Amino acid sequence: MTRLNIIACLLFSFNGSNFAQSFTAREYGNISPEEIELKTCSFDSTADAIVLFDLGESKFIRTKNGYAIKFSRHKRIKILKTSGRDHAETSIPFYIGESSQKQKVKSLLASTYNEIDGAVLTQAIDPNQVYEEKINQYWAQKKFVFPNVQEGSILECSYDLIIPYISGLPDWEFQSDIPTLYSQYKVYMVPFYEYVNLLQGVDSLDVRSVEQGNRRYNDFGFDYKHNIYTVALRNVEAFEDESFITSKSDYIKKIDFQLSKIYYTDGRQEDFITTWKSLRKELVDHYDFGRYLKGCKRLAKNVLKEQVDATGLAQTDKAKRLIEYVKKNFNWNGYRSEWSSQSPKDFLRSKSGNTADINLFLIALLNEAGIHAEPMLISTRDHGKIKHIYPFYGAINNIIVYVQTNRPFLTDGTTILLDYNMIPKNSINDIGLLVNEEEEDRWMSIEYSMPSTDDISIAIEIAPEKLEAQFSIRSKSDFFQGFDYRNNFRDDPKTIENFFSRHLDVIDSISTKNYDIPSEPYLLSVNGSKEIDKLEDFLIIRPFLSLAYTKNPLTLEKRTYPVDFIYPYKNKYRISIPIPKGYLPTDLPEDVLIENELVSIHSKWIYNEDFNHLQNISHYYFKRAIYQPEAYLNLKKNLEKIVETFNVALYFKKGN
Amino acid sequence: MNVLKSTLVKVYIGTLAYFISLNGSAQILKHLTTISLQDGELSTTEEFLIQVNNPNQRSLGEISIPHGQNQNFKITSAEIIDKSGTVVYKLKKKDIIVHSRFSRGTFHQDDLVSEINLFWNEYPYKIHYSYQNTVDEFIYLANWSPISWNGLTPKKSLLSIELPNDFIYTQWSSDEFGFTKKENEETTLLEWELGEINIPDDEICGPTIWERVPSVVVSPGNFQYGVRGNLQNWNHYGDWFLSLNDNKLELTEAEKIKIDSLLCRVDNTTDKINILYHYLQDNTTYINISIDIGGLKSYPASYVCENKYGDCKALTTYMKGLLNYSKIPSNYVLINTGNSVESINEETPGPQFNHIILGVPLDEDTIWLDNTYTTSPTRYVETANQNRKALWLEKGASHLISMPSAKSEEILCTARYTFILDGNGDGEVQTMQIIKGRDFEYLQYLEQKNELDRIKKRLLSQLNIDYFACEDWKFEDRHREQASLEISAKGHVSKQIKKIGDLLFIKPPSIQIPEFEPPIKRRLSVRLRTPLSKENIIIYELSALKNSVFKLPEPIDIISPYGIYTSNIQTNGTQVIVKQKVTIYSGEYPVSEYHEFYDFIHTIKKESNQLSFTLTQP
Repeated sequence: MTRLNIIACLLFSFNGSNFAQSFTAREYGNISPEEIELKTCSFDSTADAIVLFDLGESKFIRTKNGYAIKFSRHKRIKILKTSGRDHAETSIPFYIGESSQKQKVKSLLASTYNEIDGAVLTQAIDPNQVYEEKINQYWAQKKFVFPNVQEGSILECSYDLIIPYISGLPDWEFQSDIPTLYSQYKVYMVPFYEYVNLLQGVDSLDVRSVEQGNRRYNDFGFDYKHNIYTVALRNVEAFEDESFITSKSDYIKKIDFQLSKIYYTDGRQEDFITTWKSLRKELVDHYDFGRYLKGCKRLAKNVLKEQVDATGLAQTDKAKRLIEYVKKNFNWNGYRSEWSSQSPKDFLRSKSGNTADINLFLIALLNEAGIHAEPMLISTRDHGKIKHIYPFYGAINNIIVYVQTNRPFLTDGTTILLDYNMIPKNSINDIGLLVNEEEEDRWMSIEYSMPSTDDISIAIEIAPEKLEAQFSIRSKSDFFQGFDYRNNFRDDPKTIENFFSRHLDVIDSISTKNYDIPSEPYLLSVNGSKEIDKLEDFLIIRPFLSLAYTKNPLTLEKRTYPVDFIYPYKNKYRISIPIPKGYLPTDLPEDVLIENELVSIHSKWIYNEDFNHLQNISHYYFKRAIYQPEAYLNLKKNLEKIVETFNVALYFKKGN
Repeated sequence: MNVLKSTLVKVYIGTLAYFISLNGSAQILKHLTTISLQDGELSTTEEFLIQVNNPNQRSLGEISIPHGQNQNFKITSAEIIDKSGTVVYKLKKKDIIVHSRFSRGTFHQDDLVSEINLFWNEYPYKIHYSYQNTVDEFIYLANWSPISWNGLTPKKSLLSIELPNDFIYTQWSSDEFGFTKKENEETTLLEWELGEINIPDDEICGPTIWERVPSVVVSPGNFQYGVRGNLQNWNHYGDWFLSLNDNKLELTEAEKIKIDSLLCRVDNTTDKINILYHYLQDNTTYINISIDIGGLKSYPASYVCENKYGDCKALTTYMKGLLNYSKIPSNYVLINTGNSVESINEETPGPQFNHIILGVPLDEDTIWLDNTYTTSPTRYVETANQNRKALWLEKGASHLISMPSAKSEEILCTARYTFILDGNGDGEVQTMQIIKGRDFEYLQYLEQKNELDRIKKRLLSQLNIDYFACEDWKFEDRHREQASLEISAKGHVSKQIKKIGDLLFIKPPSIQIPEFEPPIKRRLSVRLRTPLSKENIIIYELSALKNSVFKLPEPIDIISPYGIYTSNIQTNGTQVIVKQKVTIYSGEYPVSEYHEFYDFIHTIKKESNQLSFTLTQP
């Protein structure tokens, strides 16, 4: 659930709240007896720590050229159990990328409070024990450990983060991995800027107010008072991460901000990314996007002339050739961005770059070869979904490529093991926006409806005298299933052997085909043996070799988030067992035929008496990429059936 | 040079070596290490020549070089040579990315990492790069192996050390190297050369890669690292370590008062140790902050008094400070802790350890205190510290010791199950597990971290019951000095009785026995530092099937030099009682014995998995 609001000094009506003011009394170092006495979280008995309050405040501070933002954070945590002592370790990240945007952490205070013999002992952090680390080229962090943290300790920290650009008004997360008693964010607005905000995961705020500050300011010859915008929530439960979700940021309770308008003192107004169209336009004109793309186009001519020959090919084949060329010749450095990180010339020289470097270059190459291709702005799965109802720069973190041939497709130049018309799994995340100069925004849904399949055939030769069976496994996997095998195995026999050692006792041979041809299914062949069990006169084998799910991955009683498999997929099995002479199958598993809108589960055992041969044809098929929470229990039940069906034992009785 | 930190590098590389597999046979063509000592400064230059054959091997061009913040470090050259032999790319300074170094388990360290990325687009191509590190304080001249940064072995490697003629040193090397020594008027040149070598991959319970890879250790007669020392023998190394960490035991006044109040009515030394160890466990946290020469030098006890956290050295110094103040003598013990770590090379005294604990000698025994475990009983030796050599530190008398090893009965884990089943095999089960040894330590850790989901997952995995819906589980109350955990669980079960034809059978939960490679694949010896001992006692209450005829398997007793397996199923009225016990002894088993060892493991695994009984109804 998301809500969109616009905040600016001129647009608010006053809606004061005494509740919010009551917390202005929370001064650093002023610990109340109630906080000392607090032993448990009233709404989460398992909590090992609780945020007593988390207060954020953003103020605009005058600089030589305009304003910077001073974001002040003041947080107090109570340690309820020994296990909560991990919260003593703290880090404050800050941006150190471009010089005009470097952030600074200032006025850091951190103290631990412990009650000893009825008195509160305060221990402040030694400034020499605050460390600074450079995470990468773009981010650094201050780190420290609260001293003397015990069960019952209260930890308090406050700092200012100086952000030298007004578009960087910090967002606010009301929720964290521990419960929060009170979380409040205040923004002291100046009359020159307008921001929009986006509220996520919150039905109603406990505090939502705008009040006018008392103090009068005069900036740029303009008299004004702050409009103070306050939002707060009480008793926020801990956010518990669950499997099969896109990103925590899609579900956590938070409010995001985006600069939308600038008001000048002479009466002029300037829209600051008020629409996706504006954002697109800015990108097209930007040095690290549109101008990089133009630069690439100039170089692409030479590349097409000297390094890759795509002349005479049909559009799709030509596109495929160029995409493969980029994948083979340029290395992705692991960074994702919508901004290029170097000049086109440097990119060609280093043959390595981030996703924007590579994909914009690919677009240039395609365009120069006469193929219509455009950048598509996306947010990767770990970054959360784009809320397309309003343009947030922070909502985007990557670009992929839209290619307009007879059959348009999406592509990406970073992943050599994917077919030319596929994008990495992490990029399959809801929607993307094409970047062009057209009037209308063109959003596209990013989803794969065609199932990725793994077609497995298993031939089993039973040797009763050795109590052993020879297994011949053939797997033919395509799309993302094929990619997973390629990516995990890297076509390395040792890695493949390690994997299959979990299913077979001895592996005799391994062969693969099409590793380097992602457009073809990946073929994998493994031969090996496994001991079989004997009980009285019965031989017992498990024909599926635990290759399917052996345990239900869905274990919750209910789920409030979707189950996101990323793409539909189908596992098909064909099993062939010539039954050894003198044995007969008994108590064959029942046929399974489940067909509904969520899944398809089939399994049929066919016994041919004439040839004393047993055969199984089966599959399970997750028809959707995403299952909404209301389908959870049904999906869970179907998964239980899959576990049961694809882990059956077969019994062969010795005849007379 | 920071030696404990370089030990971490080894662990890192070892991990990578396990994961990296590059098809098309990776080609580290050359690894040269040139070391020279001049005017007290030790300069080390590493040079690599790598051939990249296909896009799969591109990752060889992603090069990360860790180095100290205050070391004189520089990447001296980096270039790409295409298949025609032409240099097509030369590194520029702006291409080097420097960031902080991050290591698992370390909150903060002041080391840096320099990263370079070298890629070309026509295969094969060669990467050639070198870097130099100069230090004025060091312990070893070289502690070197030819293995490259990414865990791959080169086709050719050379270690070359140039020393002034009058410089006193000792050397140790594996047999595989070709060694030459040349002297001129002023310097001596030592060279160890090696061609292509084949190092077996990691194997289950095998020696670590650092014991399998050839290596060279060259130590100076005397060295300066924080304080002066030498590596002539373990005693001297111990003296140096003690000297580096001298005068750190003083407690703060507040702490002294606290300790006085804790011990004011206690006379018995053992009780005092208990109280002090519990005090440490209850009030401190392990957090590793490694700055300057933090790899070897401890924070003073007063640092922990004030902050109540520290790394192993700081916490151990603090504990020693507590004991010292209470007039209880104790000794530092340097140890290589972990369940899969290399044994130390006894022939090369020096910083081979990754951990420090305390030995508290008592009249009848020694108490070993690992001060990073917040839940261990005082007299408990953690499995990660058992059965290995360690260095007992004592001024003028430091020496290697053998750490104790648990006996089988001390780590016997018992699981008791009571199934009450109806005629269809559905019903209830109650279980009680008594957990000792490594699992005891792990579950205590999870309990302390409030990781209830992970505990439940582990519990269910160990119970190994098919079709079990656990309704409730809990830790039974225990004393903190108890070296075992008791966990009870109960829930519904179904399909416990299987039907094949007219035969009904029950397959009890089996004991999980570790997997080992078949002999044809095994190339390394087996090292089990601690024994394994597990017992299942399973009661089936089958009143609903009272008229059935049970057919029980014969009891099994397998006794071998590697362990024991027994199983026995009996009836008692309407009850069927299944008893099964496995013990695998600790020990070092050479690869020549592996066949017999594997046969034992394979046989008991099969017996355990196949254990079942049948019943027929009239």
